[in-house]
Amino acid sequence: MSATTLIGPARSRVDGRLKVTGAAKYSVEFEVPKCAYGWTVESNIAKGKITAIETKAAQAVPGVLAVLTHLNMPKFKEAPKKEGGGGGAGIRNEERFPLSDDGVYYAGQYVALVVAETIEQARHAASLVRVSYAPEEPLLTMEAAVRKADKPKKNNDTPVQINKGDVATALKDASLVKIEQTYITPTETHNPIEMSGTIAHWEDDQKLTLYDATQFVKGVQNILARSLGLELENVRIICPFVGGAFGCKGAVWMHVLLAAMGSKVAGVPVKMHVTRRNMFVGAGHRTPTRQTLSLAATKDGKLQAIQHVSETLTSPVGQFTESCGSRSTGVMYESPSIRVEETVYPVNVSTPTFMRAPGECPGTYALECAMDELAIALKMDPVALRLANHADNHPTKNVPFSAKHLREAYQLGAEKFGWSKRNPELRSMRDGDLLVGWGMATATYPAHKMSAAAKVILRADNSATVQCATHDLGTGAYTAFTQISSEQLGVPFEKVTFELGKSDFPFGPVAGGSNSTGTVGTAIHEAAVLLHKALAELAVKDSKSPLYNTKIEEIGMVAEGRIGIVTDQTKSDSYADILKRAGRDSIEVQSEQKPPEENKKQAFQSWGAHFCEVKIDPLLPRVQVTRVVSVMNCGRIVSAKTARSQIMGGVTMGIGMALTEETSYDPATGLPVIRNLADYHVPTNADVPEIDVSFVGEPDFAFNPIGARGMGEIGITGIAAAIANAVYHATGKRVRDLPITPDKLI
Amino acid sequence: MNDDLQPIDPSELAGIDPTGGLDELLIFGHPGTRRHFLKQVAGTSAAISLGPALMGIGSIEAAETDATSGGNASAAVTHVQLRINGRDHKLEIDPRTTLLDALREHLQLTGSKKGCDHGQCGACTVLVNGRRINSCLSLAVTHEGDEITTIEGLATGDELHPVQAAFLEHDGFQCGYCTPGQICSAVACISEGHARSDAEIREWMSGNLCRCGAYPNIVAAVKEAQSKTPAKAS
Amino acid sequence: MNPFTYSRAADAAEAVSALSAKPHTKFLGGGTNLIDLMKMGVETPAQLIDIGRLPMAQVEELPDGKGIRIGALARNSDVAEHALIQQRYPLLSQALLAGASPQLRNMATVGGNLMQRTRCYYFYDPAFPQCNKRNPGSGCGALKGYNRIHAILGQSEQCIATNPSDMNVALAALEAVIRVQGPKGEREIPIADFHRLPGTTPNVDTNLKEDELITAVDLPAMPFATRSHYLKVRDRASYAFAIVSVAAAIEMDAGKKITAVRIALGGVAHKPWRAKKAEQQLMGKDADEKVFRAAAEAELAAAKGYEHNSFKIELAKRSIVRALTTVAGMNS
Repeated sequence: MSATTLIGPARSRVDGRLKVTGAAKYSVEFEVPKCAYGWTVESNIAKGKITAIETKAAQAVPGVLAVLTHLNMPKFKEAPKKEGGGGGAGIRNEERFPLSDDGVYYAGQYVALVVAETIEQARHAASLVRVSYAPEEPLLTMEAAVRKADKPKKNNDTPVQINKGDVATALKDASLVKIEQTYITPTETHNPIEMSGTIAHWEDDQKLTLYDATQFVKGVQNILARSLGLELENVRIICPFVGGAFGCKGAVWMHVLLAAMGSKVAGVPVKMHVTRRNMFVGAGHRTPTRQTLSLAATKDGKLQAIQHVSETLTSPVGQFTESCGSRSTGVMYESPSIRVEETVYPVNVSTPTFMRAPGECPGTYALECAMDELAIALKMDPVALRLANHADNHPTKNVPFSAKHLREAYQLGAEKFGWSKRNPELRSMRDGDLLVGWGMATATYPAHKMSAAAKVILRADNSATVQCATHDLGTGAYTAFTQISSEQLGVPFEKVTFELGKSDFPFGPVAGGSNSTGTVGTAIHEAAVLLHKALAELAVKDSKSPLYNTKIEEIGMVAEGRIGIVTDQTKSDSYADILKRAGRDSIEVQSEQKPPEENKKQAFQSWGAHFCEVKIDPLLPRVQVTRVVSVMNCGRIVSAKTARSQIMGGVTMGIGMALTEETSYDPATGLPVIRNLADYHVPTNADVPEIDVSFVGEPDFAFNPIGARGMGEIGITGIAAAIANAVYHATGKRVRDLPITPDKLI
Repeated sequence: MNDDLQPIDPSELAGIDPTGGLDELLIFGHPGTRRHFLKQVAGTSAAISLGPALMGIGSIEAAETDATSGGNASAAVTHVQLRINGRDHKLEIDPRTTLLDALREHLQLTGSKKGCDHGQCGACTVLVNGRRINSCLSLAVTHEGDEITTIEGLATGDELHPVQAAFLEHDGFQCGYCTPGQICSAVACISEGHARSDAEIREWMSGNLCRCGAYPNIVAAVKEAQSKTPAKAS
Repeated sequence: MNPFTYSRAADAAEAVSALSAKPHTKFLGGGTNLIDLMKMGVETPAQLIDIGRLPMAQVEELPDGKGIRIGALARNSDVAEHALIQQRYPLLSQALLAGASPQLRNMATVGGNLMQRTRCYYFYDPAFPQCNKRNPGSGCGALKGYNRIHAILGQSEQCIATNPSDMNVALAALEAVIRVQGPKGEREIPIADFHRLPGTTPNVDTNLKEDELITAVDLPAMPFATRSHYLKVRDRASYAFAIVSVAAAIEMDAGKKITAVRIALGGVAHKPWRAKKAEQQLMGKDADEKVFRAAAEAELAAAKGYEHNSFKIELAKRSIVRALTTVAGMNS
C-alpha cells in the first residue's frame, strides 16, 4: 500500500486472462447486427487531379451497397481547429477531409470507398474502380521541396529554434576538440499488430456509436461530433482494448471519417479494418530525418558548444513536425552554448504523426552517436564523457531537474553490463570469429502532464469501480490504475474494477506523451480525496461513529478501508460501517477536470542509460544484438511487471530502428515499396536477446501526487545510438544512416 | 457544441446517389431494394450453385460472376461444415472466405486475430489437426473434416491451458493482439519438440511478430510451459 | 480477390483434365503464395482446383534405393523433418527450415514452392503501373526504382526480379528432377530447365506448361550431399527472404582435393542460379579459401548491379566462400 517505495508490486495484468483466452474484444470485433464492410481505393500518383472515376463495374458486384467518391461524398462540417485545454478537441494530423475534392496530395490517398455486405465483395468491387488522373510533378524529397521549407518557431507551444550562448565562436575555436557529422533516419512505420479499425453504427440520424481503435476516445468523440454536426453526447466512442498503437492511433485518420459517412450513406453499420498495406500511408509514420551535429569540447571533455540542425518532412495536408533537436540536445547536456535549428519540408508523401518518442527518438540517436564520436576524438570513455557534461539544471530553461538520478543509472548500468572490461580499441573484442562491440547511450523523455477526471463508486461491500476515459494500449494501464486506485482509495486490489475506453466516462487525455500514469493517476488521487471527504461528511454527522463531530479537515485515510483523524489514529471508522449506518449501498464521487498545475521552478524529465553488446560476422555482417542492460529513472514505478515490459518494448522497437526498419518509396510514383510485414522488418523473436531492465531514483512527488513520470516512450530513446556505437566499436565502421543492414557493413 | 455546426440534413443524404451516380438498381433509403446479407439469406433466396460434379465433391460457383464479363449473377454461397474446438458449425459462405474471416466474421470467434491478412505476422495462427497454420492464407472451404483449434478452445472450463497460464505469469504480451496467435503457435512449438532451448524457442516462435516487444517474456513463458508439458515422443 | 469456381480434385488425372477444360484455372495447394497474390489482385483465376488432399505427399526411396522421391504435395515442414531427407539431403532440410515460418512451412507444398512467384515490389502491388511480369509490355518499375532485393545475374532489361525460394536453391544444387503430368502423360524436367530467365518474356516464370501438374520431385543419388550447407543471408535473424543464399555440397579426397562440388545461389537471379563456372574452377583443386574466392570471382564476373543492390555482388562472393569453407570443415 505504500506509495513511497520506488517500485510497486509485480502483479500480472488484470486484463491478462481476457487476453490469453482470446476474450478481449478489440474495436472491429464488436458484434453489430447487419454490419457491412468498407474497402478503400487509393491513388497511385502522388500529386494531381482526378479527372474521372469509373465505378459502374464496382456497383455491379452483388452485395455492393455504396460506392463513394469525391463526386457523391456528403460534405463534412468544417471543424474549428482548437477548443478547450488539454488537447480535448482531438487530433487531426491530416486536416483535409477524405474524398472532399478532386485533388491528390500524396500516393496512396483514399480516392473512393466501397461498402458491401461482405469483405469479399467489398474487396473485389474496390479492385474494379478505375480512376483517371491528370498527374502533376510531385515534390518527394527535401531537395525538391527546399523552396517550401519552413522553420517553425514552436511545436505544441514549445520553442524549437534554440540559441543559447555563442555556438559559432566555440565551433571555430582551434583549441577545442570538434566533431561534425550528419545522421539520417528513414521513414519508420508504427505497425502495431492490430491494424487501425472502426465500426460505425448510427443508432438513428443523430446518434452515432463508433467502436474505434484509438488512443483518444474523447478526441475522436469531439472530432466526429464536429465533423458530422452532431451533439457531443450523441457520439459515443468505445475502445476497451487497443492492439498496440505507438502513436498511430492518436489522431483521427481518414478511415474513421469514411466509416462514419459510409455508414450514414449506406444505411447500415460499416466496419473498416484498415489493411496492413494502408497502415503504411493512412495511419501516419515517423518522418525521415537528416540531422547534423556539431560538437566542441575542451580536451578534458567539457562541452563548449552543441549545434543540432534537424530536417524533417511533413505532408501538404498536415502540419505534424518532428522536433529532433529541441527534444534531445535542448534538454540533455550542460554546455555554455547550444543551438538548435529545425526545418520542415512539405512533400507529396502521406502525413506523418507521432511515433514512440517523436523527436526524442531520432534526436537522441543523432546526439548520442555524435557524443560517441566525440568521446573517441577525445580518447575518453563514453560514460565518462557523459558524466563530465551531466546537466543538473535544464540546459536551456535554467531550472533544476526534479529527482534526476541519471548518474546512478550510468553507474548501475555499467556495473551490471561489465563496462569496465571494455577494451576501447576498435575491433579488439571477439567471440570466436565474431566481432564483438559494446556501446552505450543516454535515454531521455520529458514528463508530460495533462488533465483528466475520474469517477469513483465505492460500495458497502468494500468494492470500488473507478472510471476514466483513458486507454490501455498494452501499456498496462488497467493494471497500473487498478493499483493506484487501490492505494489511493484504500480498497483491496482485488476489489477494484478500473474501467476505461469509453467516451461516456470522465475525461481522459490522449494516451500519448507517456502522460497517462501521472495524469490519470492524479485524477484518481483527487477523486480519492473527494471520496474520503464524502465519507467523512457522513461520519461526522453520525453519532455512532468514532468520528462524530470531528472537523472534516482533520480526517483522512488512515488504513485500508478506514478514515480517521490523521494525527490521532485511535479514532477511525471503516468505509463499510459508515455506509451501512448511513443506509447507503454505495457512494459516488467524481474529480474535476482542470488544467494541470504548472511548476516552473523545476524541470521534469525522465532519464536512463542503455548498454548493449552486438556480435557481427565480419564476412557476412548482419548485426545481432546479444545483450542489453537498460537502467531507467522515471520517478515511481507503479507496476513492476508491466513497467519492465514497457522498457523491453521500447528497446525492442529501438533494435528494429537501428537494424532493420525502413519504409522506402518508389522514386517515380511516390508510393511506398515497403508496404507489408514481409518487407518491413520489425524484429522477430530471434532478433531480440534477454533485456535486463532496472529502475533507479525516487518517486517524483514534486511532479504529481503519484510520483510517476511515465515510461511508455523513454525505452526507445538512445537505444539505436547505443547499438550504432556498439557496431562501430565492433567493426570500426561508423554507419550514419539507419537501419544498419548488412549491405552498409560490407 | 458550436452553434455554427449543423447536423447533416437527412434530406441532403437522400439526394446522394451512393453508387457514384451510375447504378440505377440501387436506391438507398429503401430497404426493400437493398440486397440481403449472405449470412441471413442462407438457404433461402440465394442461389447455391453446386455446379457440374467434378470429382468427389461438387464444384462451387463463387459468389459472383466476374463483373468484368458483364454478368450480374445473383449472390451464391457455399455450404461448409467446420469442426472448431470440438463443435461442428454449418456455414454458408462465399468460397473466397478465408478460415480467419470465417472464424471472425461468421462465427464471432474473434480470438484469432487479423494482423496482416497475408501470412506475414502470425496473429491468425490456429491449429489444424494439431498443426499450426496461418488461417488468413487458407480458404475456409478447404477445411471440411479438419479438427480446428483456436485460442477459444485451449482452456478447460476455467482452467487455463499451461501455455496460457505461463503467458499470463511471465507477462508474455502487452497489447494482447498477437497473443492468441503466439499461444497457439507456442502450443504447437512445444508439441513439435522445438522448445528445448531458448535459442530454439526464439527461432521457432519467429513466425509470430510481437510489435510491443514481449519476446523475452514469451521465451520465458514457452520454456516454463514446455517444462510442464510431456514432450511428444519422436 | 475476384470470384472463382472452387472444386476439389479426386486424383491427379482429373485435376489435369479440369485444368485444360477451363481457362484461367489454378491449382490450390497450400495456398500460401496463391491466396496472398489473389488478395493483392495479382493472380485472378476464374477456377480453383483444390488439390490439397490428393495422395501426393509421400517421401519415399526411388527404386535404386539411393535417391528419394518427394510428392508434390508434401508439406515443407514434413520434408524438412523427414528422416530420409535429413540423412541423405540435409541441404534440402536446411534450406526448407531457413524459409518462411513454421506456420507457413506447415502449409506450403513442395510443388507450390517450386511455383512461388517473385517478391519484387513492383510485381506484387498492382498500384505500380510498370511490371512486365504482371502486365507484359508495361515496363520494369524496378529498373530505375527501388531495387535493393533485385537480380544481379541473368536479368534482362525487361525484368530484374528474383526467385524468392530457399528450397529451389537446394534443389538446383541437388540436380532434382521435377515430375509433371499433362494431358498426354508424364514427363520429367531437370531443375535447371524448370525455372526460366526473364529474357523478353518475364511473365513466364517456368517451363511448366499451362496444362501440367507437378506430381513429384526426384532427388537423384548423391552420396556427397551429406557434406553440404545452406547459407542464407537476410536482413533479420528469421522470417525473411534471402538477400543472398548459397547451397553448397563438396566431395574431397584425403588430400583435400575437390573431386565433386555443387553450388547454387539464391536471391540473385530470376531462377535458382547454378554456379557452374565456380564449380568448374574448383574441380581438381585443393580446398583453400583463396581457391574458393577465385571461384566466386569467376562466377560473379558477369554480375551487374543497380542503384540499390550492387552490394549483392560482393555479398554473393563472400557467401560462396563461407559456404564452401563451412562444408570443407575449414571454419573454426
